[in-house]
Amino acid sequence: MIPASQEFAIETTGLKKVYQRGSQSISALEQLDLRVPKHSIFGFLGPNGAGKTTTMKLLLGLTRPSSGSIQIFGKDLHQNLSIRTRIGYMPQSPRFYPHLTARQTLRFSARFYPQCRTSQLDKRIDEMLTLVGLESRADRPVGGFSGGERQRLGLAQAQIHQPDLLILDEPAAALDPVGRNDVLRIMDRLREQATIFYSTHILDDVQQVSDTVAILKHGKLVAQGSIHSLLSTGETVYQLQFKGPAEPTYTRLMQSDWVQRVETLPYGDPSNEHQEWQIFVIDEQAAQAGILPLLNNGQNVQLIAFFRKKVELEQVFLDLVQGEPV
Amino acid sequence: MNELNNTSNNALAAPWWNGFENLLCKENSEWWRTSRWIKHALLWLVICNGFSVLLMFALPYIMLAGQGDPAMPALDPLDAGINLFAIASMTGISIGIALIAQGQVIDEKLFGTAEWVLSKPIARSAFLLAKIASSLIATLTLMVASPASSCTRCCPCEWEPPFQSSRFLSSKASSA
Repeated sequence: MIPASQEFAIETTGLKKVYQRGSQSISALEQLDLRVPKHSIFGFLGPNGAGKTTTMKLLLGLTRPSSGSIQIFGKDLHQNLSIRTRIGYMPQSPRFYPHLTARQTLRFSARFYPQCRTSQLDKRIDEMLTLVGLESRADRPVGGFSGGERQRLGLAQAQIHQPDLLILDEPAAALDPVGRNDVLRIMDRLREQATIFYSTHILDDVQQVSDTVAILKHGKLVAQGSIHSLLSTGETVYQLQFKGPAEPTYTRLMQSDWVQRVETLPYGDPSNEHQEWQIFVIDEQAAQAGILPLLNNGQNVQLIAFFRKKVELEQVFLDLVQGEPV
Repeated sequence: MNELNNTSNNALAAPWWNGFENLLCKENSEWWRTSRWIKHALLWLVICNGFSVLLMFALPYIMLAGQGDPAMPALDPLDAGINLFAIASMTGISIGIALIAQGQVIDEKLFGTAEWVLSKPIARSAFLLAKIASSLIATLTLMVASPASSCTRCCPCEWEPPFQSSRFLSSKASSA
């Protein structure tokens, strides 16, 4: 039987980080228990100052925890430096030695890894440069690169040694929409080979590629789980657009025991009998069976649009971070 | 703050040389890739040899002023110049290496490259030692080897130069 810890790429227990500023102690992270499943794309979310970068630095051993433990692939990070040979890291706003070219930077980075000391290194460098779209700039000094190009190079150097775990701090932050899409595509492609742990503010990206998410607030974990479970924790809401008299439709809806409440949206035009409503339901199955027949039975009601409102990650994030229930 | 103390000794266990070779190559290239080393060589040539020549020039007059004083040791201006050169070079190297290496670490930390490099499987000691070693190589070459080789060309021991500055200055001083 496989021990539980071997199912996770990252496992932290009671991770805590306290910074000392003179006589004052500032808690950056409190009792963080993270479980990052292998081969997942794990989105690490939180407002500014929540402790995301601190967590990433702790996971890389760049800073020491005040208490708690970190296991990477089932091994204690602080006892095994060799674990880092299995990790690729891209910092937020990556900076490289400005006089080195992109190719030299990748070679410099690769030489730290025993698995890269092969005759295939040049080929691997070319592959990486092509993957991130920097092949035409391969022999130009990095000092002249734009923020987006540095970001692409950061992604290439993080993968040069084919790591099992990629830790990416805001990987798409400085990229234009095309670059962002490229990064998401690369991340999705790497899913089979590696576990990706990344932080971001772009919640739309998280919803597109992540399968697991954790949300941090003031150094505390407020939510962790699959994106599906996180998005399905909200209320079931149907959105309805129709033309016709509002009053009898509203009365019929409110008489149904599966309807909790009905809210009128401001986009409608009551003078034209154009209504736009949100129907909050208690019993989803009963609503699915009853809502359409109920609307169709209405006299002079012309249905324009009817759909189940999707819970956006942004809403879940805002609710959690602002302390309101989802 | 007990929690801080609990883990403060928790260092990543790694041999001190992990990544040293790669880092040393990079640090050496920082020293020698541009014309900066030529400027350094000229600067230290002027400073080290200038002091030595200055002393060789001034010493005979100092000795003359102290003539008859039993506390005044008998000094050869050439020996004194070499001694001063050695002392100045060694002191300069020690201070220079400490300042240069510290400056490089601070620069890398502020620029953000330190975070990137230290995320690789390297020992922190290798990161620091590579900077110290490259600075040592550069300063030994630029502050010692280069001024010393030019100095020995001026004052060779076995070969009689057309003009030997120290002996010329000594004879001037004694005739004065």
